[in-house]
Amino acid sequence: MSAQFVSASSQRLLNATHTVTAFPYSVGLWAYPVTTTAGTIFSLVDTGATNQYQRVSISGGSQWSIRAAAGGAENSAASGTVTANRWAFLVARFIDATNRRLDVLQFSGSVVSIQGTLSRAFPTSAETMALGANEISAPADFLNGSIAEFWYTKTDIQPDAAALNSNLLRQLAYGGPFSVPHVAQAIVEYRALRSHPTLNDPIETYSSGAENTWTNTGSATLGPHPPLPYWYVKPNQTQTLLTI
Amino acid sequence: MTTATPVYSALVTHTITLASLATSSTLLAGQFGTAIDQKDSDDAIDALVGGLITVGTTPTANTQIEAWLYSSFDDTVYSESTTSGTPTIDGTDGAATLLSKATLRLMVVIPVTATTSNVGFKWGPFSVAQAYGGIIPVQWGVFITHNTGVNLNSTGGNHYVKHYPVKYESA
Repeated sequence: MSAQFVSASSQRLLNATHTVTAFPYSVGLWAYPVTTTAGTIFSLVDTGATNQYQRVSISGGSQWSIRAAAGGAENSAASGTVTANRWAFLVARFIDATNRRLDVLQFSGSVVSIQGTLSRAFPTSAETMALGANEISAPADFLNGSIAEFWYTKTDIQPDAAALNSNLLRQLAYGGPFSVPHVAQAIVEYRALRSHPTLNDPIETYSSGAENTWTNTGSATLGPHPPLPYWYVKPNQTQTLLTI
Repeated sequence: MTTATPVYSALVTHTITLASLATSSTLLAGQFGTAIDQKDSDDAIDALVGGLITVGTTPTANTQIEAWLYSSFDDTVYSESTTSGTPTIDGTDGAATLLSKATLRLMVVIPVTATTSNVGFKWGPFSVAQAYGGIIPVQWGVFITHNTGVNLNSTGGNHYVKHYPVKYESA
């Protein structure tokens, strides 16, 4: 299952209890757009200010994009081609004000690496994290599609600040963030989104601190899950089966 | 105290025709191997499966090869998605174009990152039982698909799928 969003219904998931307050941070997720029209996949927003946000989206040109605004004009870096009705795995790293990176593992196996370098400071408050929309004061740019296997860290998961190593990208996609020790130990929150988006199922969610609370605005529904190998590592997984 | 020890039976080579397997841009068309009849021929409690797949001449970089498991829940039909109800996977080495792979179990996605010809990728081992929650299915087999842009290597000997049946003995 995944969280499935319909843009016409303004559906999105909101988290006002996250603890991301500064650079750097990293976000990983699987995305399944059902159209290639513009839509926001992830955003971190100061809802009380004008144009204070960072986000990952599908651009109007049907490309993957990483964007930021710090009170003024939005900076957008975009590349690759979004394919409708195909899963893609995305890792966005907001490293500092002048280094935002998005690496995408396309369904075909190709990798797209995107970098935004124009200076955009961290949002003043950034109290809201959103999946499926740019949660600015008048929420916009809603997603048509699904999101699954969402996680974030308050670190840059690759210390050299360069484009993400493609082997690491593939391991995170198919083995999961808990299969990479230096990522696993830094995960702040993980949600498989196999169960209802607001349900804190201990098998499908993980929080390093207090449980985050998500609200389901517009009633996003459950959709299909990406096809992951059986050895995908889940949170708190410490043993495998031995049948005797 | 009883000690359980894994015992590996003879290596089993699967019947699956991978030579010159055509590329599939959707990664839905591929080749399935003849099913392993676990129920009637082998009382192993697990199988460790792997193999060799060799790309063809000048594959497209940044593409991939996928290895999946299919299985039977009733010893007759196999997990797949079809429109007409007519089985695409019938348990005997053949080509298949699936509507979806959602009812199969993914073992591995092998990235093909360079255009180098005739590179062999050895994959595995993967536990069939663990792919199905701990119990090996009554019948199971392997489905291979790729989108490398060219046919796989044309020599049959440059590809194989094999597994070791695993049992436990106690002493």
